[in-house]
Amino acid sequence: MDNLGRMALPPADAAAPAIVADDVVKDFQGRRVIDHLSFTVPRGQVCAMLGPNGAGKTTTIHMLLGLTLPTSGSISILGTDVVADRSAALTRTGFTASYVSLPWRLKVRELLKIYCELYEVPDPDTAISEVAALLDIEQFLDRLGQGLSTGQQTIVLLAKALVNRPEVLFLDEPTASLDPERAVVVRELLRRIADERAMTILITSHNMVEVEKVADRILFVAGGRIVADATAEGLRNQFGAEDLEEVYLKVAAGELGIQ
Amino acid sequence: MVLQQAYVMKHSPLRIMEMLYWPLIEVVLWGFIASYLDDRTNLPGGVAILLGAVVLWDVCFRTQQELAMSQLMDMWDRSILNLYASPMRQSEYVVGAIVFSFVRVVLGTTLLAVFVAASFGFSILDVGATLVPSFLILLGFGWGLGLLIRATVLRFGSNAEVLAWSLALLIQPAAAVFYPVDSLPGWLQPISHAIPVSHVFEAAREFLAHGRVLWGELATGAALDVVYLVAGALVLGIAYKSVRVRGLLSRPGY
Repeated sequence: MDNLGRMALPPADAAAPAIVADDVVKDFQGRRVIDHLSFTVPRGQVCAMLGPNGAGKTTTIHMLLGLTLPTSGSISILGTDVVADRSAALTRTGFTASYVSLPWRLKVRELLKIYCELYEVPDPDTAISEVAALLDIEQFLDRLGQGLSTGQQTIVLLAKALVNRPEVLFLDEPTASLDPERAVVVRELLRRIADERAMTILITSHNMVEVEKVADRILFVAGGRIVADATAEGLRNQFGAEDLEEVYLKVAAGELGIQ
Repeated sequence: MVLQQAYVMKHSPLRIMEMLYWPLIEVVLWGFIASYLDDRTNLPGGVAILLGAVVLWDVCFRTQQELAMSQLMDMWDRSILNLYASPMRQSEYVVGAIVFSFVRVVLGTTLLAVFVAASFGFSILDVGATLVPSFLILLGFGWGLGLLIRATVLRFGSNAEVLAWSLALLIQPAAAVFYPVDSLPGWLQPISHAIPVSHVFEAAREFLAHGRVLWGELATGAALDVVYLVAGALVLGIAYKSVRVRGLLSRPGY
């Protein structure tokens, strides 16, 4: 058992990267949306996926979570093949996105309790207290989901994603509905827990400031392919841009054939 | 998943009310109809047959609806993706819904039966030895229908939710709930024989009218139940794979 009461991984899995996507292809009704995508995210890295709308970022995350099956290629999380055993692969992960909601008829505490059960957290009460303190949501624990604002729901969903102390966290536009002040708090928190817990984070975002401040590495996705893979500084140098927004616009223009 | 359903019910008075609201309306309506007819016909079993049918049919209808509703509520909340992105298996999701539907149906049927006994003097226990096997067959068919509805809604989204309210009702005329199978048109009788619950109601009517237990009918109903349950589970498995291949879990409304 590890110090969180979970079964320890065998040596082979303990050395496996957090995320491996190997030559992944996804076709939807004859249209290729992911085109031989390959990348590896080592443990403890915060990796951002940037790209224009329709580039394949959400499709990629959904394949990593087993929500969508790849047409070909392989995907593994912490050494476990997602297609072969999705449930085992996701046990040590967390997920939240701007397009999912809280169940309206559950209290926050109840929601967190349910997800503790789903992720087999050995001590739910402790885990809930810990994540509530981390995200400053103690005052919401006994409120129903329907009674929270959109921003508050976003924070609670982040709590849901963190309650099981995941080793790999998937965030799809996590701060899209937050006010700037709250977004800064969340960004700093994500950076801090990634560093303290050596947690791997894969985040998609259209917020360039967020990406530059949080990510160790940026995958630029366009047309279902990775067109750039570097740090923020590396991308600026590669594209001769002053900031990430300029990089984004250059890549997006290139994809659209705009001069 | 059982825990989730229990919490939702705790915070939703409507979910508690609906266990009884529609069944009570049905029972009151059919109770009055049965009383009226009983005074004017020599129908063997009379009031008992009609009221027994209402209570027993509600088991099947309610079970199907419960199984469909638990998935629909997660979809309406736009929180179902949270569940599918967790380690939860589809089988766990379904078994949780089945377990909770069993609890609600037993509770609802018990309350309904008490109301019927108090209001119209009919006890569901009058169906005697056929009660437990009938109840189980009705539950099983309700689960089978519920699995088919879950599969359809999973594959086609909330556009298919009308089935949650109507599939059992579409089947009801052929299920011989209030009348014997041989009163149906000839072309419909084979269809009726292929529905598990028609055998339950044939057996119940025979017992109430003449005190005989038609074990053969109940055995046939049970065997058909297994077919529908297996078919429902297979269709749900196919639908689940289909939505993952097509990326449909990502679409709005999930």
